[in-house]
Amino acid sequence: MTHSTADPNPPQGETTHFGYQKVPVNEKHERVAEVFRSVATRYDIMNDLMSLGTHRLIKRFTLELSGLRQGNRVLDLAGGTGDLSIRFSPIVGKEGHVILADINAAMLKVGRDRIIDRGLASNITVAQSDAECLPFADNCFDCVCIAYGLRNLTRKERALESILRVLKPGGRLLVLEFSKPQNRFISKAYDAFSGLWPIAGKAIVGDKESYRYLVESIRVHPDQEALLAMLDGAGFVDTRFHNVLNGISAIHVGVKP
Amino acid sequence: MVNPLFGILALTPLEQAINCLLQDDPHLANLIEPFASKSLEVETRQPAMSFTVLFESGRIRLSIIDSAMAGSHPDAKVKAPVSAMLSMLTADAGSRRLVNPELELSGDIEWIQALLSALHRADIQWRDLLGATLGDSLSDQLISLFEASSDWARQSNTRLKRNLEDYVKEEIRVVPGHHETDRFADQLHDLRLQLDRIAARVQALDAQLQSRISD
Repeated sequence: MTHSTADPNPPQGETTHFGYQKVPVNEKHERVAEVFRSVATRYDIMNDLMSLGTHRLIKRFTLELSGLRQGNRVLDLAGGTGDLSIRFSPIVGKEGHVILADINAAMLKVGRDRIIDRGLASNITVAQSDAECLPFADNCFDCVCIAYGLRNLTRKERALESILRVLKPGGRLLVLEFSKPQNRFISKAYDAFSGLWPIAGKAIVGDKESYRYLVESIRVHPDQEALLAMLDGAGFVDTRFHNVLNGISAIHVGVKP
Repeated sequence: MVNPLFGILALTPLEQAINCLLQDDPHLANLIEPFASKSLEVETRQPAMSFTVLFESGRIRLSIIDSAMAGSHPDAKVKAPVSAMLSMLTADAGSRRLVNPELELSGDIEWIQALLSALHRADIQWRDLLGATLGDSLSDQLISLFEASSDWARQSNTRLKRNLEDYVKEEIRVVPGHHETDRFADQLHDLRLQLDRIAARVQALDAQLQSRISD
């Protein structure tokens, strides 16, 4: 999934990560947008290939941790091609609502088409929006989920504050993101495997650089404990994380007090 | 908890099969409908498993998340060995299905009873349920195998009971046979009747004696 935001008035000379590179804050926004514009149409196929299909099980686990019930309102942030929104839709039912939000129009177009094709448009709304200043009222969601999107954000702290604002008290934030494997051998094997992703990207999508960014962005992303501290710092309570596949991915959970 | 991904891998096909059945069988769907928004946590021993059944409108969801992890309270919880769980599900409607020392129930027990009673009325077509995931051919084979196994188990049980009874009654004569106990019970019954008659006669004679004394 995609996301990055440009600050309208960033301090002069302020830089941020774009994979291993340091780039000006405003440039990251455009470069991330270009990455996801380039891969949008083949994004789901590549996900299946890179995760060997396990991303479906991981997303199901995320969905179970959401604790959603019929009638709830959920925000699928940086939801791109709508994989999670499609799963949330039958759970919240006709009385509930899912908002699929992403800043990237190309990804959202793929998501919107999938939702319409599956006949789920009645309780899913698609909204192009910025995670760092969400265009929603305070206290209006029972759950906000951001899957494989947080690492692409320029200012993660600001996005977490924005999420906290739109969540209802007692509402739950779920952050599914790549993380750090706990076992040294698995870590080595995973590094070797992920080294193949740019090659697969070149073969399937015709874009090696986007997948090189993906691999690099995973490696510079905060580990489990650092992200947990970020959630605590943003004001979430009952924070915890669940390692999946030995920590290759992790699901962080936080509750709005 | 088992690795969550393995749990999901195991529960997802089962959930899909049940939901297919609910979609195809309006009678069953109607029976389940009153339980929408309820949740039942199931914890089995031998083998140890834990999952939650979430009832939704027209469908169910099987979740590997227990109440502790979900941070919520299920409407009811059942904890038992798998064998006790199966006998609870397959017992006749008239029997006392929940009376089993191995079963630990908590939460809304009345709701569990209502659910069991609905399941008993459901008349589930297992062939259709399995057919939705395994295909008709394989599900036919599995059901035939299951029916043959349960026939064999029932016949073996009857034969074992009869042989055991013959052995303890006829061969080692540890306990008397049915006829002997019936005869002894009849004799006891006759004796009780005779005693009652004697007691009544004594009472009548005593009454006569009292009236003559008073005259």
